[in-house]
Amino acid sequence: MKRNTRRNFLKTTAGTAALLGTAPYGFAVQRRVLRVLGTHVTLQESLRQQAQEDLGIAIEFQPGGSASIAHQASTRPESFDLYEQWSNSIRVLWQAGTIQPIETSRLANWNEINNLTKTGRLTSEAKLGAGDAPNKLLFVQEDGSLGGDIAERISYLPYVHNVDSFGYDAAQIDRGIPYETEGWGWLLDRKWSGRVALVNEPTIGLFDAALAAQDMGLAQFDDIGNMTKSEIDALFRVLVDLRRDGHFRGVWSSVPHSVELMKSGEVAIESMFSPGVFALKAGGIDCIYASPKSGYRAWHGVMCLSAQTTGASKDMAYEYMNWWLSGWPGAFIARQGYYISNPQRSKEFLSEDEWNYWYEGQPAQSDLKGTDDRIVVQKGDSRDGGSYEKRFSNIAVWNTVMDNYEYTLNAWNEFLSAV
Amino acid sequence: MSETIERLKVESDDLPTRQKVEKIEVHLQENARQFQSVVEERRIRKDLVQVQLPVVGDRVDRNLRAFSTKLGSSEQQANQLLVYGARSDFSIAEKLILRYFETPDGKLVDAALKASSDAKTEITAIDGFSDDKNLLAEEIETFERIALRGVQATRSYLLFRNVVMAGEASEIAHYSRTLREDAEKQRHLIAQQADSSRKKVSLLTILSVVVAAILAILIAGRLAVAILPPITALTRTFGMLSGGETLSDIPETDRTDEIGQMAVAARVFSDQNRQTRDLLRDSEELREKLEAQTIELEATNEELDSFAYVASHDLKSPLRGIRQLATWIEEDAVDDFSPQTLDYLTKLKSRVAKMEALLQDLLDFSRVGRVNTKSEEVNLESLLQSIIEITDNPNGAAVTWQDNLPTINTVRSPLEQVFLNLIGNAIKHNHRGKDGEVHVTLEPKGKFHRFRVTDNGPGIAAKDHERAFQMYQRVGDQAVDGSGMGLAIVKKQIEYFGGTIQLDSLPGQGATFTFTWPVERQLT
Repeated sequence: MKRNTRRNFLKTTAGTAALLGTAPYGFAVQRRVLRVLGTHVTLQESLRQQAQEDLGIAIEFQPGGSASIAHQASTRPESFDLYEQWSNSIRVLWQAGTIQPIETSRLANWNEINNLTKTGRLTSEAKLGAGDAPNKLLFVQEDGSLGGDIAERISYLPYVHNVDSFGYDAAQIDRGIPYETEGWGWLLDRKWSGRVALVNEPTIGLFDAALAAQDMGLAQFDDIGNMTKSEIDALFRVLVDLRRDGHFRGVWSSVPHSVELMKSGEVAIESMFSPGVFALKAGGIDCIYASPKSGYRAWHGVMCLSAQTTGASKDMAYEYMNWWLSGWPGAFIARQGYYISNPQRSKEFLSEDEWNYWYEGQPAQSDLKGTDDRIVVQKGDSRDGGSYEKRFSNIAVWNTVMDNYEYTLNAWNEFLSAV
Repeated sequence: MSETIERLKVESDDLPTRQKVEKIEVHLQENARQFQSVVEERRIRKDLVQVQLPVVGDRVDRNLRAFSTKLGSSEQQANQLLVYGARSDFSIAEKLILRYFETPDGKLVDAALKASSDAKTEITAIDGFSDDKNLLAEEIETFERIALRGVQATRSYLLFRNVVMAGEASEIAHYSRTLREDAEKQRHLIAQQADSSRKKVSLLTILSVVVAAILAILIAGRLAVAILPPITALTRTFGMLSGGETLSDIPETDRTDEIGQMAVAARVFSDQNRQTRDLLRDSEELREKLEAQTIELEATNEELDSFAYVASHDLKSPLRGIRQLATWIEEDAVDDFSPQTLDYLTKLKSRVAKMEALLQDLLDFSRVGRVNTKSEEVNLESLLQSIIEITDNPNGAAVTWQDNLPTINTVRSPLEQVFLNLIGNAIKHNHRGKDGEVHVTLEPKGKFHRFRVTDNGPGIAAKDHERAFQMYQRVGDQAVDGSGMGLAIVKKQIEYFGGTIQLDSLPGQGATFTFTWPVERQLT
């Protein structure tokens, strides 16, 4: 009887209690997961699983589009521990105070980082590209700004990087000679009218177009890495006229989109990223990744530490950064065509044939597989542009957020809207 | 629009046309997704630029002026000059950053940051007054941080609108254009074929006339009567078809001779003309429906707002069930349980209770503005007394208010929730035991009542002021229970009714929450 009474009481009062409302109340949940915010370029499931296995910690990847993650990183530092993107997003994050300096003394293999990141040149003879070379953004200077003078505190962990150019379908366009006849100007050559595409990103595609216009003698720039408004106007007059003439098939917004455009035959020549080139090769399209005589457009990935990550989370973040420079991850991304800042450490995780193809530019002695187990390199093929050293000795410009960035966004919109 | 695309996919028996329609569908979906990003970035930017930034800017101005007044004596002339310099530089920084939001240009941001950095340098150079200096420098840094967030939101908004969405629109335009071109080509081909047939028919007509004439002479014209009218009708029919018209009635199709065959061909051309015209009309419909989708997407935004309300509301019922079941299990088998099991059961009930509290907070948050409340006469002293009665106050902190608080005409429940959360928070964080004090005051301010809730608790660092009002953000002593929703609910309630709330607090010096509440009910 007593039991029934109490049950009835509970039944009738449970709802009432909830309706009365409560004072602010809750409980803290201990966080034991390393949260990494970034793009799909480095936030790949295979990397996450391997890192968890090697480090014994839980890792959560938060992949997203470049613009949205850059915004999240600059406004909500409490929502991530590590941020992976491109060096051109660093300045805003640093100014906004949402990332904190990384202590080089806590990076086990810091001394193995090669000169590309530390000085902007891989070798002393290499061409220094225009724009924001990674060394200009790396070291935390005494006054708190970022600069190239060597210091013990850095703004990002140097790791993944590459050079980009344009790709062309050798079934439609005669094969050129690397560094001699291949040039950015091909993108604006009216012979390929209607079959040209650019990447839809002003901090990248703009430089492809500018290098092409410069190559063709259609535009001149005092500093291609930091164009003036009148130089931007002159460039877009050329691009808009060409678009109205039907020169461009369009723009692409993702690597699969760029692959589809060339695979379907709609495009013969376009801005290209390395994974797109190797996906086309794996699919039987003879896509050549050009080695432009005036140099490549280069980019550098960065890994940054949130300003609000402390204690055990910060320790985990350092473990993860050290893991990236421990060899295996560098070998993994090499199979997609990317380079790591301490390549020698990755050598032991690559076969001799793989190392010679990806880093030394030598012909493959056997078929080579990519990260998805598909064959991406046929026996006898050599990497377009040659060795790591040769490719990084020919940088024309680095992906850069220029002083007139907002102005380029409006100009880009006029270009896309031109009919 | 999806219906039109689905219909086109089903009806089109031409594979390339169907593939183009499918591609338009993919890019439309992506465009819609990106549109959400544009809406979100605009919302963030508006909040930062039009709400947060002016508040912080005003505070810095006010505090600089107050500091200048404090330094009033002639012995402080050197310091006074530095404060004047800082005020001037900060004013320049404010103007430059506002100009950026009118005409986005990165150089304005650099110049604004330099001016605010100069202001900080001048503040730092002041001799003595370290507490005032630190507070001012912190506030200028808060201004810089909010300004840079606004800059980033502006850039994101421009990128999504000018680049990402424009890229998708460019692809949609490309495929729409090729569809139109295909349709035009098809129409042209049909016109050519029809024209060719018309010429053949004309020739045949001439021959027929000649033959008919001869036959007429020979057989008195009877045959001419049988052939001439249908041939003329067919000639006219092909003429109309070559002009792109469609005809519901083609003459002479029931004949089995050559004229009948030509009539059947004319009907085929007419059908093709109809399909071409339908294709052109569908392309036009697609464009019109893209515009309509923009309006639909805005409605979807509002639906998403409702989600938190529905989710938290519906999750409460099963949780109550779990709590009830745990109690029954305890009653049925308490004597058979080991101490460990009893401990688990106690933890289960405690955690369910915490989960219910969390959901209630989320529900309260999403309920703001949903519940229709009517204005009534509210006696403020009775309202505060009722809050004291329902608030757990284990250490007996003193809650007081100024004499003669009036009766006001307002919505009772939201105002009660604001006071409940503010006073509850002050009591919860009280670290002085019986010496803890919470005091409520009221003064008129134009069309608003201005309330202050002041306590002598541990206080909140300036860097946490903004965060304290955000959802699920907890500041201060982490050992104190709390969901981090209390102040978010308070802020949302106050802003819903058109008021504002401000926090003034320093570590060790207690906290004052000042908020305005409309005399006449108004909604934002």
